[in-house]
Amino acid sequence: MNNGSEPRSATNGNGAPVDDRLSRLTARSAARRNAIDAQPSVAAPPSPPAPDPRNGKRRSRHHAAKGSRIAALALSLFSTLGLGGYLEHANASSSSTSIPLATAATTTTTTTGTSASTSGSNSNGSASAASSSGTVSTGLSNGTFTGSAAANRYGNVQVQVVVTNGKITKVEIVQYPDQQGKSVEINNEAIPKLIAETLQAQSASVDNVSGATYTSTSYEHSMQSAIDQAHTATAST
Amino acid sequence: MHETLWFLTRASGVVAMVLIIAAIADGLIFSGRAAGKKHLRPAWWLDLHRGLGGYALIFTGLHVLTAFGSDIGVGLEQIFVPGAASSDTTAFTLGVVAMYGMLIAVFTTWPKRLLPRKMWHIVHLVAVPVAILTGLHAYLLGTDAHASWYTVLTLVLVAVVMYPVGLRLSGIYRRRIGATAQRDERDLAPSLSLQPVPFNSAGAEREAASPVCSGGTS
Repeated sequence: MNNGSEPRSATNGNGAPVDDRLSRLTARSAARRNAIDAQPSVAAPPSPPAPDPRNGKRRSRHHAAKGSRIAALALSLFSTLGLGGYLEHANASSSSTSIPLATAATTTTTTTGTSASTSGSNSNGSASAASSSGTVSTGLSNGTFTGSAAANRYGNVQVQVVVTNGKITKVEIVQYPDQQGKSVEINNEAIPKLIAETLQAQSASVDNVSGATYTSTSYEHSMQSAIDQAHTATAST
Repeated sequence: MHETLWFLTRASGVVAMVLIIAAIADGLIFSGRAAGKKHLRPAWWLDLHRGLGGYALIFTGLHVLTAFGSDIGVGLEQIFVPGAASSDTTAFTLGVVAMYGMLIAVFTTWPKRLLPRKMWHIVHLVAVPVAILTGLHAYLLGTDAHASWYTVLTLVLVAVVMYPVGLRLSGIYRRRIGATAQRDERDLAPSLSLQPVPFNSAGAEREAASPVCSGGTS
């Protein structure tokens, strides 16, 4: 492949380098090869990340949007805290418009034991198909009975019933979920319906109010507890 | 304490949803080649997209943790098992599935891509249904879902995400149209090309003698 120019060779006829630059490269290459040969055969441990040649510090992963990411994180954190605070504030202000509660009667106040044992009275709740899960309220002792507090995910529901002449004549709410504005809003609508149903059915068995399933279920449990107490008072007198 | 956690649950859920939408919008802008080249470079959008995705996952974790700790009847089973909730089953299930989808979208990308690029892209698109499921979960189960501020926020988020969705879809459409045009051009090209003319002295002499060209009529 002679193209007419002088052939490029590392050495001349005597084996000496042609020029200084080539001789330096050859010497460096030989030294590197010797150094490699001199290394032990075991694998070297992984070296730490190479230092940045500009400032000697360890090179970290480059983030093109580092500032924006930090800003987004800070904004998210502040939004969470701020929104949480706002919701708490809104809840506190809406709770002031909650439905009026009964004065909490922590103990059952049973008055006279004049139970009205009318026909069809049933204290174990198994007679009427319409009140299969509840208790027919006839046969109740007169008095005021407070049911147990029934918990759900939004809070407790506790009812108090007033029995007059063996009939439930008044239902009051001792406590209900009022920790959130939405709960207050829902319960303001649902609880009057539940009370009306109870007064009409004279039973704890009421239809769930749409959108207030938790409150309805807890209401039933607490109401059943209060009615059971009224029956117990009847049985004991 | 439980009350505070409950408010944090609601707030972190909303923020996580905003972050998910922001990450998706960012990703669509990046993948739609609408990121620009000068000031906000594609690398900037990509880095921010990754950051937003990670933060969305962190705030989702915070949402789940605070819900678990706020004593509202949310247990481990309801958090991790789809369909395990006895009440609001659909809403809970949507949230659980969205959480798993987000985990898949993030952890097949970060810390490094675990899949071949094409498969990764298909898997990564799970982020879009994740956003839809998150919105449904929030609407069905969210305490604040019917608040006016939440409605405004939802409208803003939809508006924010629709622009890059439009960009992305129009980009896909343009590329498909371009590819079809190229293919048609390729298919059409051989029928239009002239037959190669042999060039040698004998041929030249023949052509000079004959008025008919080899590639067509003169």
